Amino acid sequence: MRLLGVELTRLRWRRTVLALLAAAILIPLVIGAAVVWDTRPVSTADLVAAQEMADQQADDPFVLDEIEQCVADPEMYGAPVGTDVQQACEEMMLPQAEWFISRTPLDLSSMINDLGPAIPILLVVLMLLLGATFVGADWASGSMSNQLLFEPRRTRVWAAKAAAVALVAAVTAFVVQLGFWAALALVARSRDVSVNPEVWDSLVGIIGRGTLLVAGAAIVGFSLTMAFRSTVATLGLLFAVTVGSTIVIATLPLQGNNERWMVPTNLSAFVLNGTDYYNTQEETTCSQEDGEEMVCTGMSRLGVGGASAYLGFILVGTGALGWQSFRRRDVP
Amino acid sequence: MQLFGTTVPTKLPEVIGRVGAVVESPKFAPHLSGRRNLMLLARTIGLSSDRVDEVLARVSLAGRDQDPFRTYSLGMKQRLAIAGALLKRPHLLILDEPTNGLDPAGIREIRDTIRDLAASGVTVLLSSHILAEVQQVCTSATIIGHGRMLASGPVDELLASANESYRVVVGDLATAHRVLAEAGFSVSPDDPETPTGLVVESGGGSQAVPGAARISETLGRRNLWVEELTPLRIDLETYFLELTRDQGLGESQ
Repeated sequence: MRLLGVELTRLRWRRTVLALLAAAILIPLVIGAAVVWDTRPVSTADLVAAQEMADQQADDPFVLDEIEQCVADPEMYGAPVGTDVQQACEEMMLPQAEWFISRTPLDLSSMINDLGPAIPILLVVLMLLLGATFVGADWASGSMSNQLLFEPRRTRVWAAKAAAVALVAAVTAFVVQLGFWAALALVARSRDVSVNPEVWDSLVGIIGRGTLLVAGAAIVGFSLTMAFRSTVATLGLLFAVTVGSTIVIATLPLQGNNERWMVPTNLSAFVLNGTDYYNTQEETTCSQEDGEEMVCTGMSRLGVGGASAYLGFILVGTGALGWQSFRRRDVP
Repeated sequence: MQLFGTTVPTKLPEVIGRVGAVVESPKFAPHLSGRRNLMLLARTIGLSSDRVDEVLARVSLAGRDQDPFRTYSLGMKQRLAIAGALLKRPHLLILDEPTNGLDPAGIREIRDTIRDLAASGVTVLLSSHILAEVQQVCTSATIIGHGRMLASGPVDELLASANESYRVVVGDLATAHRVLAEAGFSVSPDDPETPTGLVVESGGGSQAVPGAARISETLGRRNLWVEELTPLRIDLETYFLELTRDQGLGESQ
């Protein structure tokens, strides 16, 4: 515990770490503010402005010409035959005020699938950097050898540093996600938008799995830098993997299941408790009944178990690499 | 290899608390202050900030301890490294080339610090290529060449065991040269062009009769009376070169 305390202090005293933690709070804050702004209720002034635009376009000769053509040939325009054709065509063609108000209300259930994984994945990137830069500074300054003169048991040193980055990343991820969704829920309540209890159940899972994911990412960044002994080398590898892995995996003969092996698919599946991906060997067709969810064929399901195995392999592999390298190689 | 009777490196954690070391250049986080760098090391072994204050004062860094490490001069960095090594109250302090790159004032500061530490009971193991420094600071020395120990012991005894040399002045230099050479001394003129005396090597301090007495006796027996007999003091560097003369050490450097 004493070593863990020392490493947490070292983290706290490192300016790059503080900058990354600030980014981890500020970027979701900006995203949340943008969501709140984009979903703000329609005001009377907005409605008046929209009605003015609708009226203005209703006088457009092009629109009037279209209505005339619709009346002349209603079937071609899909207007119901046997009713008041003039009225039916006007209802279809005349611009309405709501056409100029594209804002949707704040609905947490519709945001979960996008922002649910987006916030943890953003934090994954930042905490990978945190893990890498934290220990990269020790290698760059050479202070690692000094530290080992005070605690020569390398496994303990490795574990204390790994625990410190994982703990900071986990707490950050938990607080940021909780704050993000709690703030949106409060805004929704202030706008009298109810939040379905099932949404809360989903969010608890997303926040929990997102926290685990971010903590694991910090350990991966840390372990790679312990192996390479250079932050730059770690960042180079991560860049190459980010750009290269998707291209390489897309070219492999995986019977159309290539997307299953891509990193973003597995990240989403882990956070969202499973996700659907396209199988490129099957034709995809989607249909939606009234009031029902859209159903697509040609999609495959990746569960949280499969994603956990995939991401766990990366975590254990890089962890073992970093630990063995630190244990066996001379420290300059 | 054993350290304090304990096998290392397998049982290094058992004795590391008694060993302080500054290996090569001082290595600390550049943006942290000297104090914070030491605080991190001190907390690793459960020491309080009072101990940090003590070692900072001991190496005369108390006034600059809040400044970032990167703003320190080389001498200050080296003193901070020694302060770090002293945190553990070591019984053995290992210093590797501690005066590398320092200006004369910095060198003197470090040497004084080493002497003070030794006076306070700390065993200081100094690794250096600057043999004049070793001769000035150390009480005992071990000379290693090509991974082998060539000599070891108190510095005074090592120098005494080396070939003693004397400058000898007599009236008849040519005859004295021949007489001393016949008696087994290694003799050469003090100046190849216009010699005013002879340089005589007496063959080391291990002999029963001191070299000066034997030279004087040898010349006196042949009625050659010594006008001047001056011991030429050997230093550790000369001793090292003599020791390694036939082994090719240092030829490539």
